[in-house]
Amino acid sequence: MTALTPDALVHVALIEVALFGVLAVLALAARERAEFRRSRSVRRIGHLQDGLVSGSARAVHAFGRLPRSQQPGAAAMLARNLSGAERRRIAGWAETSGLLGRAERWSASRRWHRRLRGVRLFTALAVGADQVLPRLADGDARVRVAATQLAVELAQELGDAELERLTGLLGDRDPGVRFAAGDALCRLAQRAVRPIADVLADPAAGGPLLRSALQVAVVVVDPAYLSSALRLSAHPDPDVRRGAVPVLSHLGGGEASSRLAVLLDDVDAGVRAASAEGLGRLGRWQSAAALGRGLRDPSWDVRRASGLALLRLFEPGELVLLRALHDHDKFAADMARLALSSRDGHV
Amino acid sequence: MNPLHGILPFAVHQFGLLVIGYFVVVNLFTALLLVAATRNLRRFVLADKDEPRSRLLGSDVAPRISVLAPAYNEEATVVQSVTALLTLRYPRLEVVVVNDGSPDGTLEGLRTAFQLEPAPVVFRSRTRTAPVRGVYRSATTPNLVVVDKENGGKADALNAGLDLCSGELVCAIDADTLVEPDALLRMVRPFLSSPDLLAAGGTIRVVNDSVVRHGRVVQARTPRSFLAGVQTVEYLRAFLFGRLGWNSLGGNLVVSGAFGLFDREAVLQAGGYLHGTVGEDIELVARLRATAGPGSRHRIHFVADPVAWTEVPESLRVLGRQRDRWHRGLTDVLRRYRGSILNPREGALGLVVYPYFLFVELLAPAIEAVGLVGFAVGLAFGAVQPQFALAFFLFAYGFSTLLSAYAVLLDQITFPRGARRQDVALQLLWTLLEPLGYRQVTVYWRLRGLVRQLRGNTQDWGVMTRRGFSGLETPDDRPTAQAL
Repeated sequence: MTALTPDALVHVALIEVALFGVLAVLALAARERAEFRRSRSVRRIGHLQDGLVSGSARAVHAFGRLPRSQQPGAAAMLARNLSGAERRRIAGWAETSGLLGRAERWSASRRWHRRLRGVRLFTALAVGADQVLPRLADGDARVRVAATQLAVELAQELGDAELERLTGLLGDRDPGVRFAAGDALCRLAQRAVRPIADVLADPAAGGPLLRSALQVAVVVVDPAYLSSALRLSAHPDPDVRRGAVPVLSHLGGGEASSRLAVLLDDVDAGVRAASAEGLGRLGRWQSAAALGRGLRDPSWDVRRASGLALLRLFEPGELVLLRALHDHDKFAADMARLALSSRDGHV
Repeated sequence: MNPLHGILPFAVHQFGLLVIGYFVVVNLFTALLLVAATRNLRRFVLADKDEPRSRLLGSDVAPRISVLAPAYNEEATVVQSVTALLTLRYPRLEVVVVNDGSPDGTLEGLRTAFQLEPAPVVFRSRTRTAPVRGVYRSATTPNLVVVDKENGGKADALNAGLDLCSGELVCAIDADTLVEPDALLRMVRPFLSSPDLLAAGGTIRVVNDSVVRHGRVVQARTPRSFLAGVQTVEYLRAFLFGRLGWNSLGGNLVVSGAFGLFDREAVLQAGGYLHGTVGEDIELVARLRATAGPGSRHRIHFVADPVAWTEVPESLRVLGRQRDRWHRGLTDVLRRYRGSILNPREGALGLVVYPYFLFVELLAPAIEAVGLVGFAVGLAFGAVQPQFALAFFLFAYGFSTLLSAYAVLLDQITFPRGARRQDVALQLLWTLLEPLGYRQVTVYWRLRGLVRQLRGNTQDWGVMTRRGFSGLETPDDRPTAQAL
């Protein structure tokens, strides 16, 4: 308490007043700076876009007059809105102006945020495979995520090694990287088929890798996955089995639907529900009896999926549902009633 | 000699020490939150620089999000609000409007505007809700689902939406909240990188006096009226470094009911929103963390940049009711989860978060009130020197304004939204005025809420009168009054 004399408190209060003044000035200055940057960038970039795309020396010179800190962001903004030859022209200009050199240095920096910035600039300009693709193995997850995006931009230039590295990220320890790799592979579409098929066929592949690969396989469906998906539908990990089911139902065919019917008796309720849903999607009337059994499943989700799947089989399915209304299993009868009601327009 | 003359100064002195000690501890903790928030913001800004925001758009593997919008007697604004929700930028979006038994034309308005058709679904009621009368899907916008149910209140409507929606993540919003177009793209990011996340909250800002067009805030303005203005500063401080700081100090306990993103399965496993409490948002978060148990999935993250806008009360009566209700909600939650307070098995949640909410958030009004009365008594009996009281007041006032000014600065550095110079200046003015009178009045409201809750008044929401966004909406073809 001795330190808390009125004089001491007043002194502290005066310091607070001074600090308040400093903060207020800084806040106003920050606004002015942001506004100045925003208006100048918008104005200049608007003027420069056409000039840079056509390779006008005046435009290139004017762009060079932008503050160095703003050049990467401005170049990225311009390039993202372009494609093909126009984008390559911006990248060419970025190289001659030294911007790509800076991005290269950033990409090799020890600081994660610099590497991230470098990778993002290369990605926006769709160049720099040599600098960025090694970053797929970067120690920082955010940088790895950014590097996956360049892989999408450079889809045609990706070699087998890069594709393999990208696919390997599906088993990354960081979920965000797994997501980004999956997203990138989905965007690569047919180019992703072979590496995904390789992962699915690899008996040594772990659970997280398989689960992510199966997610991609559902989006980029290809018959090349069939044998692996059939094998994985018997995998000890229920999450992997659950992932294999939609792949089978998207592939279709006799083998897949027979396997789905078998999976209606899986120990995991999620697998059973997914199988019922898959059988509904395939719409094979031969599945009606198996789905009828699904109406008696102890899991509500499986009963619901079976009921809705039966509706998708039309007459054969509806016949099973009508019979199930008088089933001795009250849960089966209830689900049949709900499914038929939903067909008839009732909640 | 009267013995009181000796005892009173001693008691006041000891009491003063206690109050000052409390003041110091609270402010040190606030400073700690501020440091943590600044570090978080710096990391965030570095990671966000030049990030292509549209990366998630068009993704086939992005998690599906269902936006739950309860509506009760929203006939005038519901079509506009839903249109704004449907234009949110997110690749796999479902908008579920729950008409909570509105006696007005809410459902009819939706039916006409979006060509609703019956779309019965087989769903399992995993939460307690009033009966659902019908489910409709839009013929023109297939990702719009309208649930018509009997009236049961906001929690009940949200529960019905939870049962019926199909998203892996659910975004609960208030009917009077305006969400920025890319808010979901930003809000979903922590869910992609952290599978242990239960919920994420975003920043709520004050929309009063801002320019709104087609359900979007096109120009953020600082309110000119005193009450709305000081609340702007209050919100800024609470969200920018209050909640952000908690990300590093044990996780958040509050995800605003006006705008939050939740793991749907986790919410359903926890039993959905609770009926019979006025703080259903904070209660849900507390229950989610309690249900998850120590050491398991129990992260609640605050994301600084996704923004939703809300209209704050501009009358003392309405604001008083709101603060009273908030405090009753907090009291209720801390009473329900009292077993977690100072429980070492809960980790940081039990040892830091709950004690903070108990001693700082809940008891602060009581301690502040007692402190103010104590000071007054001390001054009256000469036990406190007037110079000391004045100096202490100046010191406390200065500290408080410093915190607010720092929040304004952080906001301008990290999220400049094209604010005009006069808006920033006005914000700084409100930081100076907020501790003078307004905060003392909120102490009274919060104290009233605490007492009412302790006396068993747990469910009275009070009538919240708002102008509504139709009043804030600015037509395209003429400039706003604010712009002139």
